[in-house]
Amino acid sequence: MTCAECRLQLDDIIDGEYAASEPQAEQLAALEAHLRGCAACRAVEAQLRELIARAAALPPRMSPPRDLWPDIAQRVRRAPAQVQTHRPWTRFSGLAAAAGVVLALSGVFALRGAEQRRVLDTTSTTGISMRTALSPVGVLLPEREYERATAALMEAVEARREMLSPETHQVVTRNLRVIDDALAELRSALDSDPGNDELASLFSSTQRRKVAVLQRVVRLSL
Amino acid sequence: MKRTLLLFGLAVSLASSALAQKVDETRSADPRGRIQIENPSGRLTIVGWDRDEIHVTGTLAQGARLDFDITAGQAAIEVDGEGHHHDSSRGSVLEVHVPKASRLDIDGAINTSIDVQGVEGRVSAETVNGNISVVGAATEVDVETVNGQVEVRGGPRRVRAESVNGDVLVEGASGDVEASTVNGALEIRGDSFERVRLEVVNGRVAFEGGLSSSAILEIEGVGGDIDLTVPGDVPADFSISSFNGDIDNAFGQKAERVSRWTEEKELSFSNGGGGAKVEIHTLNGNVRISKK
Repeated sequence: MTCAECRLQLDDIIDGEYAASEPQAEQLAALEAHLRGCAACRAVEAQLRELIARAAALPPRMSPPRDLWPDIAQRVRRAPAQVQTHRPWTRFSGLAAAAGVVLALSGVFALRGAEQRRVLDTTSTTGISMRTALSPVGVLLPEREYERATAALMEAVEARREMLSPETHQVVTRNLRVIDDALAELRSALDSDPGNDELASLFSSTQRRKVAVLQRVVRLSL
Repeated sequence: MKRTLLLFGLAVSLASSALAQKVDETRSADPRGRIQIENPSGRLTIVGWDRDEIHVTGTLAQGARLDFDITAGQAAIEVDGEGHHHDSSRGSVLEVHVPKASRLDIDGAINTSIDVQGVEGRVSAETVNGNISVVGAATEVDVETVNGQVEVRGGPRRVRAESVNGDVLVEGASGDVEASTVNGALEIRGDSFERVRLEVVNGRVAFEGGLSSSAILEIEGVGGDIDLTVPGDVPADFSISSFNGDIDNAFGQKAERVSRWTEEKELSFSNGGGGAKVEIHTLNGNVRISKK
């Protein structure tokens, strides 16, 4: 069982959905075996359990601080041409529950050493929607994969440092900082508006831009 | 004293020129062949001409040699043997005349500026530290640099132009354009486009051109204003958002603030019956839509 398969079924484990019937018991056994051997999935399970416990502790009825209906009614009454609900080019679904979107980070680099060539393919598919990925429960996995890919590529860039002039190396470092600053701003904006598809798409493409820049520097300096 | 210094300078100059090797070689070539050129450091100028010949002239850096081979219609011109000069002024300076319908692949450049003129086939060029300029009637252009400016002028039907630290200018193109930079301005101007994708992290984007009724135009920016100029009768559906900026629309429709807790504004409208898809999204920047 892969981590992606395990995490798709965590809800069922926590909700006790697996009855004593034979096929589901086997599935449950496979899930539990995976969790025993995977610290990352155990961490996600723990966070999910905590989230559900905190939600269960909320009062049964909560009134909003003000009447939201007038704003909602106004947007519902708006003419269809003014509200575009489908953005076909947006890479990530607007539905928080949809887990079918794949974030793929792919970094391929080669280190040409004196005796061997090492090629690392850091392709990762998570099967978790960007919205879920940016929520407290699912934030670890895509962020970790991105950081691993960029760390590996940074290592490759440093290994080829003598091929670049000091000025060029400074330019590359400075521009990577530009991208990191942009990502920090985007992250902050997403914190204030976590359901924003456009921001999520901008965030994702800026992450990919950093990976692409690092790949290019490594490739062109071989 | 002055005369001594003058004589000394002259002696050094003569010695330097004696170390640099002049190049002047000509070979017959396939009029539509593939030509691969490598020059790690210095300057490359490629000029398309009407002769079925490749003519290489210039000056090689100290310690460098030129490998010039033609096999089965494919030519390879490679500067080799020198150390990698971080100072491109100490590199090899070559001018290469090629049949104008040739397909050019310029790679292996580290500290090299590249200038292509009058080549009508496909042009592909990459460098790490240096500007790239492609001017003429190339049908397809694929160029990238890390530290330098990219300039493509002419009528290519397909362009991919990328820089990390530098401006990217594409003028006179049509069809498909993909352009990006991390830190710099993007300017795209042309006739009628089918597919355009522009990405900037920190810099201004300016697009001016027409769109076919099935075109897709996507612009993403993080920090910097975006200026879009299209014909007044462009058949397109627009979807625009700016998280921290204003949206100014010459077509009349006004952007609306979509949240009471953030400054984000959105604008969606159709013009000319719709058809083309125009998507513009930026975090920190104003968006201005103008009519041609």
